[in-house]
Amino acid sequence: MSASWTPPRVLAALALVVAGIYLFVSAPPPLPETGEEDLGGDRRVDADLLLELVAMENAAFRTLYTKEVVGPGIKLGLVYDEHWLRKGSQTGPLPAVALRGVAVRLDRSPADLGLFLGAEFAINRGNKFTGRSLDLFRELAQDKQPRFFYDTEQGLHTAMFPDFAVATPCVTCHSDHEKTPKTDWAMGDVMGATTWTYPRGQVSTEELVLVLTELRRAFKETYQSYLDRVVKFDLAPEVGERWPSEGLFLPDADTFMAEQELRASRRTVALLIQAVGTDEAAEVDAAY
Amino acid sequence: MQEAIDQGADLAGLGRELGCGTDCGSCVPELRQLLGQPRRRPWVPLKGPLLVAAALVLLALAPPLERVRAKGPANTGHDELACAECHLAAPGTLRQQLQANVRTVVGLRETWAPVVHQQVNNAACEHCHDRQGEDRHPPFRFREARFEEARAAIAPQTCTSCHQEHRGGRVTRDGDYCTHCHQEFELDQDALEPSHQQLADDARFETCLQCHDFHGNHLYALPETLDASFELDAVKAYLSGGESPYGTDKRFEDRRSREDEG
Repeated sequence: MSASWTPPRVLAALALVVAGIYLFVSAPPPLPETGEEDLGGDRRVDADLLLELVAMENAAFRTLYTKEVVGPGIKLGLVYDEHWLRKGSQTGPLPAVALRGVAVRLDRSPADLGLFLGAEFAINRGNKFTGRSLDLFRELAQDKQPRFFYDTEQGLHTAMFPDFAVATPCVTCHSDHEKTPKTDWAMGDVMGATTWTYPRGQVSTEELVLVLTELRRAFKETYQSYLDRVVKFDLAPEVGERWPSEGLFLPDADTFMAEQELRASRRTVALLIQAVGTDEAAEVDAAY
Repeated sequence: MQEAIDQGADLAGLGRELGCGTDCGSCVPELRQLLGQPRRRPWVPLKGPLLVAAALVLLALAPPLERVRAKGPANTGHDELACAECHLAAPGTLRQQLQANVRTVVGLRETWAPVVHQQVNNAACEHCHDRQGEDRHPPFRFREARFEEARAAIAPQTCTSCHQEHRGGRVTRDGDYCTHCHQEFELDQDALEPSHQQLADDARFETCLQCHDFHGNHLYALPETLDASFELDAVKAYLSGGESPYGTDKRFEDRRSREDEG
């Protein structure tokens, strides 16, 4: 032992070794990258597929709510507007307003999915597309095809999907609204667009399921928030298993979501199998 | 060796003349004893201050004194919040967190891991301030592509861009926010004199909050003229933590108030 190995230096060396073990020798599993804690699983699908899936689910929700709740509800004397959450209001949310409720709930969910609603001729000026979004929307309104792009500034995989006038209430409400900038809407028109964002380009199947679960939870909670209010209205429909087409009824949240799932699941599962199956086929090809 | 000591040799002299303590150095403490020198204990003079410092740290870590550790006074209405209501625990153990960051330093990992606490995010704020989609300016909306310029300028997508905590007020950003999105107005009927567009053209953005509250959570009669609007000083006082010129009636109360109401 040379003279330089004095006890304090030995102690310092030992401390370094201990620190090295503490910091590098991995008894505990390493943490996943920040922001990717929920990934899990090892099979990945493209984020564009996820965006396509959520847009499809959303289209089913919106159509169901518009055609089976708002439309028949208006005929029964129920009112739907954008001020439904105000104190003393006896109205329900218009479909676009309900979608905003879904967006808010998604923002707070563990899924990193973002949803924005916009239009060129928006009733709420705050929803009016501008700049690059407006250019994209005009292209989309021409060919009625979704646009997928990567938002480099925020690092978000983004997709814009057309919102079609799918039911008579879409056309009449948007044409007749006191603040509408366009009064000649027709069935099938692209009235606006939903924009969806996701931070990761590759998504595990577990993550995909989490996102779909959270989206459906957001639908259910949004619809439930309407039911919570409607039962206190002067004109209060009976909430249960029946629909407004049968009288002054509204489906409860479970009945509503069962119908939503019935309408959306077939396409969702088909798209999932197609995406995952393609990967599997590629793996088999590679193995041989 | 004793002879050399008797002749006045010190530790260095013993080493020089006789080679004492120059091999492994393990006999140096005994040599010091023979020389009548005290053992080197450099920490002895620091013992008092170190003990005081340790006591202070322990005291500050005590839960009842957690406010002592805060960066500054709580913002308006946050005086009774526990630290952990906003500062949520970071994922993993401390060791995992430190290991993750060492891996980032040496290039084995891309992102930094939060240590002990997560960064305070919008969800922490919205846990109490839930506007159920009725917020006029919900932060998440600003993540939409069209708000790129506003994001670069004032980062409105995060609550803390305007509401930095531990500053003892409400709004910690200067009133420059409206200008980034509201340069042009498309109003069907604008009864205001001068018009909204004229105010924007004249860059009189300080007038916005004299009529409108930013998040739209107050229930009050909107002033119909600029003369009838709230005094700018009253608005500024409110943003600094004072009383609200918009009144106290709100669309959505915060969580504490809702719980108090039962």
